[in-house]
Amino acid sequence: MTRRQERAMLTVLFLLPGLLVYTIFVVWPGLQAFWLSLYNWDGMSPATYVGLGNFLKLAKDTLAQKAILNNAFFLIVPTLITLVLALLFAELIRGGIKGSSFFQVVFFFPNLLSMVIVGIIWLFVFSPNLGLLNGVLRGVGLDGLAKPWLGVPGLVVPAISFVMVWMAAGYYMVLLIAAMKNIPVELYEAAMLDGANWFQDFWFITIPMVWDVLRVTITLLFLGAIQQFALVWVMTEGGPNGASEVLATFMYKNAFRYFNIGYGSAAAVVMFILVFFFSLISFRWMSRRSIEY
Amino acid sequence: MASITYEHVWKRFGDVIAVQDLDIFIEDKEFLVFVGPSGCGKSTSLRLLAGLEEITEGKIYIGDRLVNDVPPKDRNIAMVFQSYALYPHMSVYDNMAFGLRLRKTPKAEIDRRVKEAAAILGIENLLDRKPKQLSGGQRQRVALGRAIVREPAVFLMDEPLSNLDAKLRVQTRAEISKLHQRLETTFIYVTHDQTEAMTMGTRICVLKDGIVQQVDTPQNLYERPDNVFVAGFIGSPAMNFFDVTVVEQDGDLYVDGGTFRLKLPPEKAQAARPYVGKQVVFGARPEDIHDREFSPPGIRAEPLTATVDVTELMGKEVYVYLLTGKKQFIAITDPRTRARVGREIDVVVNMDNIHLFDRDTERAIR
Repeated sequence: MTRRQERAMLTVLFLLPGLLVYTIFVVWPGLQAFWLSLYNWDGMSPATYVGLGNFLKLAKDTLAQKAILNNAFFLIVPTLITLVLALLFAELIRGGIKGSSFFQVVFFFPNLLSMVIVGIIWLFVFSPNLGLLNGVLRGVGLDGLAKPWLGVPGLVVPAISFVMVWMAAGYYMVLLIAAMKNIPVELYEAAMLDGANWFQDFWFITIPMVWDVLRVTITLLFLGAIQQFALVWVMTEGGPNGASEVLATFMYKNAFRYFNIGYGSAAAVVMFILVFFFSLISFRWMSRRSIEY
Repeated sequence: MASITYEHVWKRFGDVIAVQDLDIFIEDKEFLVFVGPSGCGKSTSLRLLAGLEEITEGKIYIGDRLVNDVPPKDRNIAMVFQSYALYPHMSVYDNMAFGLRLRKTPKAEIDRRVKEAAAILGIENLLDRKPKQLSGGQRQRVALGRAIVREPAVFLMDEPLSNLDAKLRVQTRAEISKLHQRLETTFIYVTHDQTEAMTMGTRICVLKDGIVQQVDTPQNLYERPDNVFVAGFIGSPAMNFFDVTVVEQDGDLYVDGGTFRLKLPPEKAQAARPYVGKQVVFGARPEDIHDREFSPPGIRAEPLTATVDVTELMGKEVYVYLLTGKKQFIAITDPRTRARVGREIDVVVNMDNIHLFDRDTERAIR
């Protein structure tokens, strides 16, 4: 055996355990989900082949449609807000505001908590009678604004979006700060001499120079929005009356609560397709060779 | 087109004084070079003029206009940075046009200026490329082009050649000098390289630790340095310095270095008379120390015997490192010299060109 072959075999040997675990716990269940989506199965009785029947049912299911719309809302609104806030905070901190270290810690802190804990915290904050938010509003005389935030269909999705932004903005802010610190300061000095104001600096220099990190940020936010489960489950379980249902909770309920495993798998397949589609779009639309200088 | 005045300018960074009482007038169309070792305040002085640093004390004028509180973009200056500071995501054309676009210059005018500047610099075929697709020399020209299109009153250059290889540096030096003649604009140039300073500047401002040592033409700096620092900084190889005593013998003055004694010519002796019996610093440039066998005619030569320590063949001349006692000094000799390592050699010092400096103040004795 040549040295090259030896090295190749060693590489394969080291990769094999990880690959095996990945295959068993990710690839195989994924393939099973695809297969199960073509059947009606309650987990106990024999499965009945229905072909694309589950998908057709999904297309007509108003709750599934609501779930997809909610995912679309999460895809756009909290993603945009998170991005804008992360960029803004990062730019302010890069600019050297006083207490920047303190602000970095404060903004990043939510990210240290698990989503379940965050969901529980905000469940209490949004509580209509005992919650902090309504307590403060009533305390300053704004009783009219004190609402059952998670109990009203029109307010529940924005409320969950708020929590998503609260959790994510700090994390991406830190990523962007790191990216911004790599921008040579002479570029800003040259732009200053060219006559650029703060916004032009930001638009023509900062954004292009951190584009690689922004691209990753947007992609991760997209994927997070489509795969959103923990926050929704902990805070509302998709309620009230499905108002905050998302694909992940819809899939979970059908598969493990209603024992409609085939139907739930069909929802999982749809989620997979959406995630795949948006990943592809993100990378192709936003792809550009890294800036070298 | 504009003159520049630094009027008693100071710059402090906390307790550190980067620039101390800089007071200098730069004529319109002059090519002034700030030169000095790292940390001497030359880049800071340039950045104060550009408005990239705030002045602690003093005033800066561009023409008749006080610019202390004028934003950089309104000072009518253009700057070439050491790292070129080209926008990596923009093409060469866009890099050059960026400043003009921000000022809402008409498109046709932008196009004219960019293409004209590109033609001057020979980069017309590079306009569509990105900086990463350019060589160091090409990037440098683009940086120059970006400055030229602004049609500024003053060009500022902060060590623009330091990232180029030696050959390209020599070539680009000449091009920048030609550019200065062509554009007839004030150039302020910062470098740590005394060769660049000597070959490019109409005047040179030598700085050390934030303090101006001397402002003069290259020739005067070379022939009449005001102090030990300027004498040692200008010229390559650097001037040889000896600690000597001024002694009088039969009415003539000599410099006595222990292992040698050299007679001072009358005009040098006159200036040195107050120092009889005292120690001074004696300076002689390597190019003023010759192999006795090949000494040029007509000079006032004083002999000195030394031991050859190292020789460096430079082609048209030989650098001979000599030892007199424990003191090493350099002579630039004729390539035919028979200097060999370990052997003694007779050299002569051209006493017309020597320099004497006060040992305490380090100022030139004239």
